[in-house]
Amino acid sequence: MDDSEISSGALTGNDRGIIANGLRLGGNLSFALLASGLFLRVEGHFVSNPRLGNILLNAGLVALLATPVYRILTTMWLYWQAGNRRFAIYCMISLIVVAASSAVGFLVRR
Amino acid sequence: MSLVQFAEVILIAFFAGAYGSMLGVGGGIILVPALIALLQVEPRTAVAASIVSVIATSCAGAVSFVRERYANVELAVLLETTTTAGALIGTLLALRVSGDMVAGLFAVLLIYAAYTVLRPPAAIPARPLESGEIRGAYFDQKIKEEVSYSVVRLRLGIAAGFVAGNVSALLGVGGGIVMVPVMVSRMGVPLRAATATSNFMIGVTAVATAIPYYAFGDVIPALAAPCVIGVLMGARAGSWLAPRTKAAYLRIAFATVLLYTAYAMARRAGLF
Repeated sequence: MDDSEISSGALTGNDRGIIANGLRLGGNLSFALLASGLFLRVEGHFVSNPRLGNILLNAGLVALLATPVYRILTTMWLYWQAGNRRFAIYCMISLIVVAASSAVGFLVRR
Repeated sequence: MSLVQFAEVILIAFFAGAYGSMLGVGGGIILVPALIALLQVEPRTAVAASIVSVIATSCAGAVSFVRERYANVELAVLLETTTTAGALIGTLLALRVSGDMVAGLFAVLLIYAAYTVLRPPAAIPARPLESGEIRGAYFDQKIKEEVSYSVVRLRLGIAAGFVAGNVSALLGVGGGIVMVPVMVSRMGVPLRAATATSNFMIGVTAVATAIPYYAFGDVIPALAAPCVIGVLMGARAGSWLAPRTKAAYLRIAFATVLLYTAYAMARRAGLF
């Protein structure tokens, strides 16, 4: 059974490929940045560079945090393109909550 | 940090990831107490490192789950509306919760996890495909058959999502420990699809917690990075090992570890 037969406005195999590729790219990029940052951060070897290591570690974390956000945006766009407004709105709600949560993080002082 | 310290964290995260993926409970359930008990990491810092690892596990696992149609994207998108809301509330609660209380809550979660490991959720009888608002289908490689299902009791799932998001934000676990049993035993989702859908969702749920934790300064890159690397490698090893290990013995051994860890966490919380 093809996805399109399950319900109208559902994601196609190609749409799923787009989501999967985005997740793989984000996961691999963040893993590479974190691993190289960690390697540079370790003290006592000939290419040890804690400062650059910290920059790469933070870049890796930002890439990792951005991946699910990218996934929500892509899914929202794909549902919108498929004419499935209901699920596009669900994605938008999740995105708004994530944005609100981020705002809490940056605005609330502990 | 020295090489030995990084190696220690990677090793702990590796075992957490391997055990978690073998039993489908996620790495955080072991990683957080292990960081607290073995490396004397502050509970909030351990929770923050774990929640970042949860995102990495979700991204890595979801790639094939989405392609193979095991993950039900529609169901995930619907439930994410409340898991993220629960995570937001959980993050706010976490600001007022002490480290000892986190340890105490973790003890309760570990006892519940031990129970679910020993008594896996029983599936409800299959419903006619027309009965559910959301349907799904995938080709099961094990039984070489197309599996079609209909999702029921969406309101219950939405409510459970809120609880799962809360637990995830407070304790740094994926939330699958709440969602998978509900999806399987109440919503008519087959176990394989429930695990995949939960894995797909937890990345988004976790990011609603991880960004504020990062902004608060609780995510320490030098701790979170080896956790991510270790958990990812462990999860891969666990998924290779799982079909080659006797499930019954594994469950008993794991439940014992969980109960002992619950005792250690309860002691840390001053309950004994």
